[in-house]
Amino acid sequence: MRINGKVALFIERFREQGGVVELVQSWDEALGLIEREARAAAGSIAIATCEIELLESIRDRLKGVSRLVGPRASPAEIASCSLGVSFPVAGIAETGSILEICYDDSDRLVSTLPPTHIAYLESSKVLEGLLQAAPLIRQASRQNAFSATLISGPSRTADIELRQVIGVHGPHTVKVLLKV
Amino acid sequence: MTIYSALEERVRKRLSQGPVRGLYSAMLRGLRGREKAIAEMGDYKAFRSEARMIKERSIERLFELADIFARNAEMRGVRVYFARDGEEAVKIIVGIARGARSRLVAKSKSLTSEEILLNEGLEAQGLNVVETDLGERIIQLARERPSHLVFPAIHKTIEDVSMLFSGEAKREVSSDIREIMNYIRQKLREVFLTADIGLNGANVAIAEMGAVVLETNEGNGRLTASLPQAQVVLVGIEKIVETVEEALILARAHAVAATGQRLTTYVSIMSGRSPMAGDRSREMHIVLLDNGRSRMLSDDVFREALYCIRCGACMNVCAPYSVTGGHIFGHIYPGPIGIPWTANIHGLDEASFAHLCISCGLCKEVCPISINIPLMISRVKNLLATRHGHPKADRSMMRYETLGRLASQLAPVSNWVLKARFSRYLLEKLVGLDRTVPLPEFRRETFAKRFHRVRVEIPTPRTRVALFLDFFPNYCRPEIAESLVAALQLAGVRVELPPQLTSGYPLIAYGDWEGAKKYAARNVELLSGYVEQGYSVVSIEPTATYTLKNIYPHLLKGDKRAELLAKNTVEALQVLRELVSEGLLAVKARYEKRYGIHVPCHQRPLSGVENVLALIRAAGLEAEVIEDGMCCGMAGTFGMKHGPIGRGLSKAMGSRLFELFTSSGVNAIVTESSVCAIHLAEGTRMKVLHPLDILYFEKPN
Ligand code: SF4
Ligand code: SF4
Repeated sequence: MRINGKVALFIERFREQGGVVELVQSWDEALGLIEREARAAAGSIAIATCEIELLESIRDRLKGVSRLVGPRASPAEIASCSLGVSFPVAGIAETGSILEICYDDSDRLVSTLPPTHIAYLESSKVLEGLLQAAPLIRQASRQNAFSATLISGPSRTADIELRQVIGVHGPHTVKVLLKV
Repeated sequence: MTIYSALEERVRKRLSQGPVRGLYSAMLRGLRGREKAIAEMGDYKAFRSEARMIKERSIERLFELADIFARNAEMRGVRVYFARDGEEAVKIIVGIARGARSRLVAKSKSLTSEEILLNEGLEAQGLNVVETDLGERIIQLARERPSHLVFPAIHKTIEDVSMLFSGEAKREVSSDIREIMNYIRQKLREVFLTADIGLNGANVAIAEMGAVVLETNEGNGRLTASLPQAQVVLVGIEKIVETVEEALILARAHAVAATGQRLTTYVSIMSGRSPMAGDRSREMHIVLLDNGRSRMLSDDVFREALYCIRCGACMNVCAPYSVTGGHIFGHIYPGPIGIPWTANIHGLDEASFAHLCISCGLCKEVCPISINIPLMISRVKNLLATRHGHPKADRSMMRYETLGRLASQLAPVSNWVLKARFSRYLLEKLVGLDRTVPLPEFRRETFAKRFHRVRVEIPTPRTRVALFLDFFPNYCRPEIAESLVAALQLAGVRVELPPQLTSGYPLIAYGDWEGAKKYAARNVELLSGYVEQGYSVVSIEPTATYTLKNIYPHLLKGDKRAELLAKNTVEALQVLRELVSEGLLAVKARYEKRYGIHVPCHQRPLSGVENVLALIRAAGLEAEVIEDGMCCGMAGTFGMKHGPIGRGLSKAMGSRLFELFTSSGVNAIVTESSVCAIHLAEGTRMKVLHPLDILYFEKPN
């Protein structure tokens, strides 16, 4: 498997920032990993808005494994989930970030409230530099309301005696399933 | 009690308790992180100048961009308000809360809200405001103010935090960090899910799409901005840029300078109020705050304060801040940039902590926007002096040139007098010169008097230089200037010594702008003739070089001759290094030792350590740079002043660097600054030498 410069850089930097990257060859393989996580987490799974085929395949795969919540579930429901699955629109190599664009805030909560966040990203969507994200954000701004979030690892704080703690209000684990 | 003596009292108390705990390591961590992130960026200089240009053009178009921003946000159903001052902004936000029948407000960190005492205003109306950033929550429960921009609760121990949370929970929350985190996560989760208003600031606002940008590491910003029914965003009008590209560059600059992250963990760009699970009844309100900003815009000097992106890097490098902390070195806005902001927003007298600034200039050097903070601080001191007069010791220190001339004329008698205990006691009482500070010896025969003996006529010179001496090389260390002249002449350089004053930097440092301008104008007049004839001005003392190059053009704005002088002023060691690398001089070592190099603050924006290191190594000596990135604490004459705002602070600032030197294993210290040398020699009890003490030059074979 050949991983080119910007994808390799994205992986390296996202990991350095405390994120996890697992490489998959297909959506099907990603589904297998999601199922494994779902079994381990033993709770409901929140899912963000995505293409209908992806949604249906995940629904099928998790039948009998975990309850699937969403897309567009209520905050309380999402808060009760142990895992959130989202679909970022890009990865940024320069900053080791993923870019999520949402048009409904319940989609944002999927990557914020559950303790584990899984993001499925195709490596063709990895961009070299931060500024290359700008056209995607500008395109989103054609809608009346949107949010674009660059996520560069799990939530963290060093507010008490500078001790680095991972997982504050956002997830402790952010895992990118990167299709290469 | 005057505002100055009140400040002195607070510093005295602080010094007796020792430095603020945790603060110095937080600062070092910020500085080291920043360096690492910059090293990875490639052309940081270009990035920094782009970031600065973004702020320059955005502030230039501030009102226009505010209009575009408001229009674009309103088009998306957002309510936009303009608040002239803090009171009006509080009133508007109280009105929004009433309209939403709100009881509970979940708030994410916003310095702008602290500027206008928003929490107090909302609480007075019976609202429950909960800070959701961990550090801010700690401070809120302790009913204190933040002591650092990035780490607001850095002065609290984990035991303090456990006590505060136990008090809140009415059960024991132990001092185990995991337990504390679980507690805060659960406690605030309830708040996020039940708050009816989410209140946040904005790191940047984007005019082209009426969007606000919010950066948080903990993820609380995402929750306050998304969960509650109504979102209220308080934005200082100076935060608006035109495009999303500009916003992304500033977000990157902010993270790199603040903590050395590539980006803050969550950077959210929000435009319009997104529905929640299809519910479109939700609201977004944006309050654009002026509160003195448009006044700053029209001020030549303070306008630059509006470029600040609140990264906190300037406080990470500020030595007096590291000892006193943000509660003394700050009002509501802490640290270096807090001085001009406080003076303009909260009133001049509240900015009296400007007197703690030792004018090292380093805040400008680390600022990702290259904001000339030191110049603004000098201006604040100047305005304070207009209102309250200069403190006594500052007045004496500003007459250093007259005193130096007198001491030199009376040498060696003056040197005995300056050593006698009784006269030192008198000097302390009368002029505020600390009786314990070691003073240099004054020479009766100054360098200016010796020059005719040293000078050699070079009929066909390779190049021509005019020497700029400043105080120490003239009155106290003429042999340094002699070595320099000898080396230059050996390489076929013609040297002249034009009539000149000293640089006048202490006047800038203590805020005497009128006096400093006179020095600048006179020196420009005396030296420009030489520059126009093709001479370079070669300067020995780093502070003098810095003043000629970086200060005079600002003091004498628009004066072309000052600009020309700045361009043609060169550091002495730079010239020597070039002559060595061109093969016109060979550099040799007088003493074989392992040297530790101290970089004077004002040399950092010049060559840094490049020249001295290159020359020392070319002479076959071993040397390493020993530093923590901050000032040694002497800061010209600051450390000579009696009292806590002077010698007291100076010693506290220096102690950490002294320790670095004494534990480093080097045998001697080398520095180009004569005043740093006095301080380091006293603090380390090591030999401190000028590079020209340990090096000599010959004609190459
Ligand atoms: S010039 Fe130096 S002492 Fe003054 S505020 Fe800036 S960093 Fe602090
Ligand atoms: S003045 Fe510069 S360094 Fe200081 S907080 Fe503002 S942007 Fe950062």
